Amino acid sequence: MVKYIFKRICYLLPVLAVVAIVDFVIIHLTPGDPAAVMLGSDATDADLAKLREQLGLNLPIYVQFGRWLWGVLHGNLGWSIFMDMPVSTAIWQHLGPTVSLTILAEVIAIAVAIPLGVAAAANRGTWLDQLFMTLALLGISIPSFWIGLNFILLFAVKLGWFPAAGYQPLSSGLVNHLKYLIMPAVSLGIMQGALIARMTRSSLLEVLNENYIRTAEAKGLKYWVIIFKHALRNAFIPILTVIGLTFAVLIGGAVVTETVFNIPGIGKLVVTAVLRRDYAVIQGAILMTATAYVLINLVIDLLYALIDPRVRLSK
Amino acid sequence: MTRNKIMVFLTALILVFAVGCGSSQPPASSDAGKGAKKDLKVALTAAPPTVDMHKTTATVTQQVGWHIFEYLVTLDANYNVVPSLAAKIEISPDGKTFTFPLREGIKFHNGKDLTADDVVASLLRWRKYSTIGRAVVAPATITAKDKNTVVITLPKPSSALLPALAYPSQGAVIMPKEIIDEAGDNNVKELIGTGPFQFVEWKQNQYIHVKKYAGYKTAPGPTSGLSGKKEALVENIFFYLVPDPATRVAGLQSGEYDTAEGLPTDSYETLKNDPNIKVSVNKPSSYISMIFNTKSGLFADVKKRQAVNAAIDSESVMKAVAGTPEFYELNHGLVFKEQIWYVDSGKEKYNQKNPELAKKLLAEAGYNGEPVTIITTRDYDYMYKSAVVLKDTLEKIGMTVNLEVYDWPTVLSKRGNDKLWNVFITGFLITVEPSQTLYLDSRFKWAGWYSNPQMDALLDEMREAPNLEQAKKVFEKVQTLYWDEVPVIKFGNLHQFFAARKNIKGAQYFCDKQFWNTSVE
Repeated sequence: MVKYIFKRICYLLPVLAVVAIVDFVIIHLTPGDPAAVMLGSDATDADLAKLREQLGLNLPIYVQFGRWLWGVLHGNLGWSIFMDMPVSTAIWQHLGPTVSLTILAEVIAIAVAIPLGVAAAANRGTWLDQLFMTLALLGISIPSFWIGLNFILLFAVKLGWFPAAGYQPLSSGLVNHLKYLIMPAVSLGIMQGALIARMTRSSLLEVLNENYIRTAEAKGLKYWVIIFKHALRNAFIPILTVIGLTFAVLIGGAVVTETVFNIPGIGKLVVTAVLRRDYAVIQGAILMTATAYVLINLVIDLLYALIDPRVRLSK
Repeated sequence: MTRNKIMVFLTALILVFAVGCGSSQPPASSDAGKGAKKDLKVALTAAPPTVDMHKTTATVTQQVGWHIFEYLVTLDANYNVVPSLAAKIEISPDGKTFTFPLREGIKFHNGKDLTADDVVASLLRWRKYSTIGRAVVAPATITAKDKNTVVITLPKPSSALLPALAYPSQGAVIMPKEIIDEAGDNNVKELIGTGPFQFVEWKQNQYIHVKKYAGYKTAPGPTSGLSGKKEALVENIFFYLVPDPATRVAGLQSGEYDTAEGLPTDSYETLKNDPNIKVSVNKPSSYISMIFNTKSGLFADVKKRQAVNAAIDSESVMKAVAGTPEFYELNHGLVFKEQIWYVDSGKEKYNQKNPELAKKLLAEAGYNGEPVTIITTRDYDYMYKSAVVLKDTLEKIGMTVNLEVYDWPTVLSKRGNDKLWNVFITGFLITVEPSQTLYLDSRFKWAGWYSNPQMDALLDEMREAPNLEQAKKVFEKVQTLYWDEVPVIKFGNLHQFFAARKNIKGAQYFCDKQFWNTSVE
C-alpha cells in the first residue's frame, strides 16, 4: 500500500507542473496589476511605474516565473504583497474555515441524500420517488448563493436565529462555531446532497437488478436488510466517487458561498487575491487546491478498497 | 495492503484536517458574553490595500486610517484649515514661512513623545508619495526649528500649502520617525499614530481591529469637521471587510454589524422601514464624471469633447446611478456648494441636453463614425450605469460606441495606456481647495492627460494668491476654462447613503464617516 500511495503522490508532480505553468501564464496575461490597486485610483503613471519596478512587475514574464518556481521548489510559495505575509501562512490561516465548512456541508449532504436516494430507489416509480427526485433536481438547479441569500433573509434578518455573516473559529466553542457555519453549510450541502441522492438512487437501482439480490429475496430476507446490507454496499463505489469529487471541489473554496456569508476561507482568499491581482496568493492557492484534489482522490481510491475487498490497489 | 493500514492512513489524514479546523484564531468580536456596548462593528466594502495612509489614495484606507493617525493641520466643519497636532499656525508677513508649534504632551501609541523630527520625517515621506504633496510642497524646505516646532519655507507665497497638508485622502498624517526610517520605500511595518484609536490586529479577509488609546490627548475646542474634540467612546472598533453589498445590508439588519459603508441605494426603502435602523443621506460626498483621453484619439480634439458635452443629459445619468433624487444633485461646480470656494462660472455649459448642437459640433469637427471606446467596470455600480447611459447618449448623436466592461484592476491598468480607450467614468471625492483637482493640472500627469499651459498658469496664480478673495477670482477663470475645454464632464454630485443601528449615537459625517465621539447604547 505504501508503494501505491508513493506512486500516486509521484503522479502529483506532473499535475502540479502543468497547473503551475498554466495558472502563472493566465494570471500574468490578465490585464491589471497589483500596483494600481495598491496606490488607488488617483495614482499617477509615474507612481505606478515606480511601484511596478519595486515589486519586480516590470521584469520579463519568464524571469518572474523562474523566480517564483525557484522559490516553490525550495518550499517558498512567495509573499503576499497586500497581506504582507508568506503565501503559505495566508493559505494556512484561510484553510480552517474552508475545511470546517466543507466537512459540515458534506456531512449534511450525506446525512440527507443517502436516505433520500435509498428511499427513492426502494420505491421506484412511486410518488415518493418522483417527489425526492424532483427535490434533488431543484437542489442541483438552484444556485447555492441564492439559497444562501434567502437563508440570510429568513433566519438572520427575520427570525434572528443565526448571524447573517462572518466566522468564528472552533476555538471560540463548538456551538458558536456551528452557529456561523450552519447556514452556509446547508446552502452548500443542498447542491452536493442533490448530486449524491441522484447517484445513490441510480446506482442502487442498478444493483437491485442483480441476480444475488433476487437470490436474497428468494431466501426470504427482509427488504431493508437486502437494501442496506447487500445492495447499498455494492452500490457505494459510484456514490463515493461523487462524494469525493464534491469534497475536493469544496476544499478549493466555495467561492460564492464564502463571499455571501463573508467566511474567510480559501474561496474568499482567492477572490480577494484575484480582485487585487495578488499574484503569489492566487498561484499558491491554486497549487494547494490542485494538491488537495489529487490527494482527496487518492483517499477515495483507498476507500474503494475498504468498501469492496475485490478492489486491489497494488495492481 | 490491509484494511487496517488503510484505516490508519485515513485516521491520520482526518487528524491533519482537524488541526486545520482548529487553528486558533481569536473571536472576531469581544462582544460575546460581555454586552455590546464596548464594541462598534463597522462593515467596510473592501479590504484596504494598506493602512499606511501616505502610500495610497484608496478611500477605505482613509476610513480606517484617520482613527489611528492624525494630521498636523486639519479641516473644521466649514472646510477651514485649523491646527490639529499643531498648537497654532503662524504665517510670516511675506506668506512664505509657515511655523507650526506642536501641542505639548502628545504621545504616540507606542508611548514615544511626538516631536518636530517625527513631523518632518512624516511630511517628507508624504511628499514623496502624494501627488498633491509633490505638486504643492515640492519646492518647500521642511525643518525642525526645535524639539516642538516645525517650519515650512516656500520660495513663493502659497495659499495651497495648508489645504494640501489638511487633505484627508492620502493624508499628511504623522508617524514616528523611527518607523518611517525603518520602512524605507516599503509600507510601514507598524501602524503607530497619535489618534484616539490604536491598531490591534488585521485579520486578513475578516476585520481590522482598533482599540481605544488610553493616552489620547484631544485637540482643544468643540468637535468641528475633523478638528476639535475627539473621544473614543467605545473600547473597540472592528472594521469588518464585507465585499458583498447584500451581506452588508442583511448584516446590518440582523445586528451583525452596527453600521455599514457603501450601502446600495436600492436598499434605502428597506432600511428606512426597518424599526431598528436609522438612515441618513450625507453630503457633500463625491461627484461623478466622464474622463476624456485628451492625449490621443478622437477626444484630443476639443470640439468633439464640446460636442459630447452639448449632448449630455446629467439628470438621466444621475437618475440611473442613484435611483431617487434624494441621493443626487445636479450641479456644475468643481467644488461643492457647501465649500467657500464655490463659484458660478461655466454654469451655462453644464447639462445642456442639446443633441442638435452636439451633432452640429461633431460635423464641424469632422467626425466620421470612428468608434468611441468607453472602458468601465461593474465592480462600481455607478461607473457601469453611467457608462450605459453615456453610450446611449452618444449613439443618439450619431457616434459609434464600444462599451468595454472589465474588472476594476483591468480598468486601472488599461486607462494608463492612451491607445486603449477614449472615455472612462470615475468619481471624485471632495477637495480642500480646487487646485487639488487631479485632472486640471498637467503636471499631475493623471489619466486623461489634459494639458493646457493657460490652465497650469491659472492654477499657479490661484495657489500663489495672497488671499481667498483673489484666489476665488482666479478660480472663476479656471472653472470657465474647464467648461470651455471639458477635459472631463461632470455629471452631478452623488450623496452618501449611510445607515446604522438605532443604538449607535454620535457617528459623524465629514468628507466620510468618523467613529470617534460615537457610542453604542
